[in-house]
Amino acid sequence: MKTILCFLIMASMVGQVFASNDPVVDFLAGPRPDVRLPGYYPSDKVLRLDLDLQGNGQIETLLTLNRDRDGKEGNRWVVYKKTDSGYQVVGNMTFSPSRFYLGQIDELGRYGLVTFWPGGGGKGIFLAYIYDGTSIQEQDVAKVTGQVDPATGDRLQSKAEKKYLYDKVTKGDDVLKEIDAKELAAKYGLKIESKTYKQAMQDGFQGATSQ
Amino acid sequence: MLLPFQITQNNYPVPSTADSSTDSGATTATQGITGAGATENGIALITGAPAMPQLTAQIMGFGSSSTLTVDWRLAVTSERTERGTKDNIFLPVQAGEGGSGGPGIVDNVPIGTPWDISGDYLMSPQSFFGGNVTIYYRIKKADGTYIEPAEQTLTTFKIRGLNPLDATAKNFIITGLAGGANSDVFQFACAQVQEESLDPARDTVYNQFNSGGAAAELPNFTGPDGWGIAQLDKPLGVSANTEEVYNWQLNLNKFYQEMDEKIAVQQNFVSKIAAAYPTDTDAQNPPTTTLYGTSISALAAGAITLYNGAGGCPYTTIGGVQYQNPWTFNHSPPAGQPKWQYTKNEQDYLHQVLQQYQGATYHE
Repeated sequence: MKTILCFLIMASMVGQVFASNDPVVDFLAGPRPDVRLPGYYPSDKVLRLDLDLQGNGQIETLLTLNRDRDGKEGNRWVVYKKTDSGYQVVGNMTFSPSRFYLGQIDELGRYGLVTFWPGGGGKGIFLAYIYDGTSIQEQDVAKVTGQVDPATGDRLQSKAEKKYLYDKVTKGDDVLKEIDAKELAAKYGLKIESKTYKQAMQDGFQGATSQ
Repeated sequence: MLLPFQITQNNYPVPSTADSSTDSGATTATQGITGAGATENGIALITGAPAMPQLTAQIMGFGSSSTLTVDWRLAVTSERTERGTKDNIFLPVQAGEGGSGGPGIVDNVPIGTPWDISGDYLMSPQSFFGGNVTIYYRIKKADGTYIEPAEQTLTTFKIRGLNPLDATAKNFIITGLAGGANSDVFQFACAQVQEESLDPARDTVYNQFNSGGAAAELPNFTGPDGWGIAQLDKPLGVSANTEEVYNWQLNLNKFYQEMDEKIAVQQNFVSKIAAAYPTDTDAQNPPTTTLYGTSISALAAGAITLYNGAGGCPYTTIGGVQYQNPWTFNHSPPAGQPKWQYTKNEQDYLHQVLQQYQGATYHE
C-alpha cells in the first residue's frame, strides 16, 4: 500500500501559539482557507470536534466552517492542541464530520482517524490521519474498487467499509458541536451578511467582507 | 379489533423491462399496497417522473350512510439508518407556517370515504419523502365518542422509489442548463452525474435509488454522506435534505448550486494567479486544453475536479493563502512545458468523468 507522507502545513500558522483560551477566536482570526468564498452568511456554522487523536487521553480540538468543504472529501479542519499558554495549530485534516473512524488502524498498526473519500460509482479510498503529537501524516489505508460478487451481482462490501464506515464508525451527530451564525455574531463579533450564501454566489459576492 | 382495510396507490409505476429499478413511464391503475387485495407486497413507489405515490387508506365494510368517522394520521421513519431521524415526518400537519404533526393531529374522514393521504402532501414540510410508514386510526361515533379506548395501528408499509429513464434524466439536465452560464463546465454535467451514481454491478446510471440487491429501491447512498443521483455530500455545507434524497430533480438542482460554488472557488484561484502576474497574458487566460482525450476548458477541469475534492493536488501559496488546486501556474516553465499544468486529484475523478463523457450511451 502506497504510503503518502504529507505534512499539511497552513502557511504561517503551524506551531504558532495563540494566547486565547478559545480556539474559535484563533480560528476566525486565521487565514481563510482557499475553499471559503468571501463573507459570512446566516447559514454558516463553526463546527467543533474535541477528539483524542492519539488515544493517549489528551484531547485535541478540530474546527471548521460548515462550508469549508473540499468537495466529497469532506471539511477542511484546523487541528489545535492545548498548551499551557493557549492553543497551538498542529496541522490540517480533510474529512467528513458525518461519519469517520477514530481508533486503532490495523492496516497501519497505528492509532488515528480514518475517512472515506468517494470517487463516484461506489468507488473511493480510505485515508488515515496520524497525529504523533507534533505533526499530522496522511496515509492510504484501503481502496474501494466497486468489486462485484459474481454470485449475487451485488457490490461487495470490503472489510474496510464494514469497519470504518459502519461497524466502528463515529457519527458526527453524536459528537459534533455547532456554533451558529447568530452566536458567531454575538460572541465573536463576526459580521454576518444579510443575504443568503446562495444569493451572494449569484451576486458574485459583491459587497461581502473577505474575512 | 382487526378490521379489513386497503392502502392503495393510484399512480403505481410500471418498471422498465430492461431494468426493473427504472420507471418505464407507463402508469398502471390503482394497485393495492397492503391490506385486502394487495398485490405490491407492502411497498409503494415514488415514480420516475418523479411523483410521490398517490395513496389512499380506507377501512372496509362501511357504506356511505354510516355516521362513523375516522381520525387518521401517519408517521414516517427512514429505512436508511444512515439518515437517523432527519427524514421522520408526521401527516397531517397543523395549518399555518411551520405547522407540525404528531399524536392528536389528524384528518377526520367519514368511514365510507377513503382517506386521501396524498392530499396532505402539500402541507408537509417535505414535499417528497419515503421510508417506513405507520398508519394510525381511531373510529369516532356521531356523538363524538370513540369506539376504541386509544389510537390504533392499522398497518405499516414502505415508500421506496424507481429511477427515471436515462433519457429522461439526461434531458432534464440538458434542458435545465440550456442558456445558462458556464456552459463549458456544464456540458459535462450528464457525464458527471452518470459517474456519481453509476452502479457498476448492474451497469446502470442516473440512480437516485439503488438499482438492485438487498437495498433495491432505497435511496442510493455512499458514505460518508453521499445521496441520490448526484451523490450530494453536504452540498454548500448542509446535508442533503429529505426532498433531495427522494426527488431526483431536486437532487440535481442542488448539484447545480454546488457546481456553481466550485466554479466560483476555481475562478477565485485563477483571479489570484492573474493578480500575481498582471503582465503575463497566460496568467490572465487559462487555456482550453485536451485532457484524457477531451477538449476541456481550464475552468471546467478545475471545477469538476473540485466537486470531488482537491486531495492529491498540488499547493500554490499566494498572499499567505494556500490554494490546493489541480491547476498550477509557472511563470517561467522549462522549455517546452506549458505555464498552466493540470494534476489529477487522489481519485483521478476528472478522468473518470471524461470516460463517461466519451462513452456516454443510453442504457435503455
